[in-house]
Amino acid sequence: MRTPITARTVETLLNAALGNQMAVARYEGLCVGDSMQTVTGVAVCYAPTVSILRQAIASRQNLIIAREHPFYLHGGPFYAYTSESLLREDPVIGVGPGNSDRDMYVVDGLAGDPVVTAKRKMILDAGLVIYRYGAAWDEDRPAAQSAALARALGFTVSPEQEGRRRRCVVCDVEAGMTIATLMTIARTQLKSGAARVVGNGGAMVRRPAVLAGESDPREALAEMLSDPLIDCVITGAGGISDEVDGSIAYFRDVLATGRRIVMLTVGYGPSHEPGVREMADALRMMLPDLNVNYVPSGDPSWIA
Amino acid sequence: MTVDRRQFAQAVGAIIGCAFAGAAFASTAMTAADLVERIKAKLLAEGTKWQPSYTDGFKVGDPATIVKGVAVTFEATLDVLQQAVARGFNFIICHEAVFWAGFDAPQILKGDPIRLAKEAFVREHGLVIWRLHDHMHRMQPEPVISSLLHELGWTPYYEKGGRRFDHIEVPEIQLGRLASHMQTKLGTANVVVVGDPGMPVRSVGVGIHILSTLLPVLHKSDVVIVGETSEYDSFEYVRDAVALGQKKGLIRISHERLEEWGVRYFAAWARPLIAPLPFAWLSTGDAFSIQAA
Repeated sequence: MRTPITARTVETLLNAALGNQMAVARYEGLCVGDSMQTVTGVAVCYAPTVSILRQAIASRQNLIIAREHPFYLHGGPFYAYTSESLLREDPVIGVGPGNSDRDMYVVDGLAGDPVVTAKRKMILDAGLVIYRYGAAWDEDRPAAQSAALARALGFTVSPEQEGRRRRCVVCDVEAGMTIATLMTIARTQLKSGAARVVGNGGAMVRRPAVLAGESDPREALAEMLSDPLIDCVITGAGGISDEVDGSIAYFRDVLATGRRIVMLTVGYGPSHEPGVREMADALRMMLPDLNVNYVPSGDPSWIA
Repeated sequence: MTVDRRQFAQAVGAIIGCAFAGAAFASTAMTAADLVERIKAKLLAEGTKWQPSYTDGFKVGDPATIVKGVAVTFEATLDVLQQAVARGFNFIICHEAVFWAGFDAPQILKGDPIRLAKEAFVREHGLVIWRLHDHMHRMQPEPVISSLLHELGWTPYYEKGGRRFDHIEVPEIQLGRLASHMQTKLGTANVVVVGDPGMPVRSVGVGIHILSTLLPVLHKSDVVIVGETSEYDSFEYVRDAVALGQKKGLIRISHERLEEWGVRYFAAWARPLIAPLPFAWLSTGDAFSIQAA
């Protein structure tokens, strides 16, 4: 018979494994639920969607470890968003000093929102506990998400690249690959519903830079493009909130200088799914006494 | 007060008719600063007082430059600047940032080869770039969103509903067909949707980029239309709303396709101030395509 393990114990184990990085990340760690509950099973996912929570409840998995926040708080590094504020009857979800206006708007807008209210009730009624591990995971393994995405696209990533302290990985495709083929792979392997192209959709790709998440900040994209042989950027999405003020606008100017390069965006969530699957594998090793399952979130978006 | 159909038709017609006009009068000496003062004066006369702004003003070039021709555009991408130079224009009026960040801070990517190339192009061709963002959004009548609605054929519904951007009642249409309608009307396939394609839509609203501006619209209307927004929060919120039984949808288009219709309207508004100098509205286009060639 296995010894009962609480969610708090899982948190302690993960903190130890990840070097306690979550202490500096905003909206990370415990988001909602009673951390003293005994864990009956673990669901690992990109986004703890209502659909995934229902699946977890049905399969008696009461601990959700997710890359994103259950209440859409992507967040920054300054504010510790704890379950305490969510458990109040009339939650006052505040923000601390130094936060961006953007996050402040989101938080204010979500207070009392019917979707948040219903989702929180579902979580608490079912006794679910939700931890978020996004920034902590990236801090510990900076290129892991991108390397996983590259592997899912069929590229070979050298271990040397995976160990570098940067978010992207650069791959070599000696035979070349068309954008059309890459889009097909994105649709079939990543279940991407809205892959999009910036630049020449007829390009042949031989040295893609793969970057899970967003291509912002533009400075990171610029640094990546300092390798003149890179002829494609494969990423999830463009800017943090507004693409004319970010890396997409910059990339358009790169194209206008005459550089032969193209960008493929596969969707923010789909770009992270392979990494979340690999994170689930790693968590399974860290938590050998628990039933740990990867649950794909799926892409909610589509193009008419 | 808003842009009505007659005003819009007149404005766009003025652009089309005048795009190549005035070349014979190009010797008229007017500096970029002079033209900006004319624009500010007309704004003031119509109720928009010039105020300090982090976004609006001269971004690149010498305001004392004699204007040879004017290009009005949504965003002064390098591609647009190249088009402007090819047509002999040296004064660019843009709505968005020149160097990829809200306030065009000089330290953004300072020394970066693309920034250096863009700066060198501007210098070599003697271009002057002036940005009008906040004041364009403050113009009366409001030109940006109302021009989008005009492009979509919804001006009558917008006016009937009291000219609110957050709730416009439209003839019932399925979400998938609504997305197709937008693709056709806006001339782009880059129309990304979250929600059930078969959902009947009876009302739409427009939000601006971030989830907090989408929530009030979603609370009132079936569908929110937004020009670029983060997928990790806006998409996820709508996905959950649908899963919880709400009949909601989100349609994301590019920032360009959301706002450049309003910039085109502004171009026509400014045309009489620019005449007889050569003048054109240059579309920035949509950065994204959805199919490989």
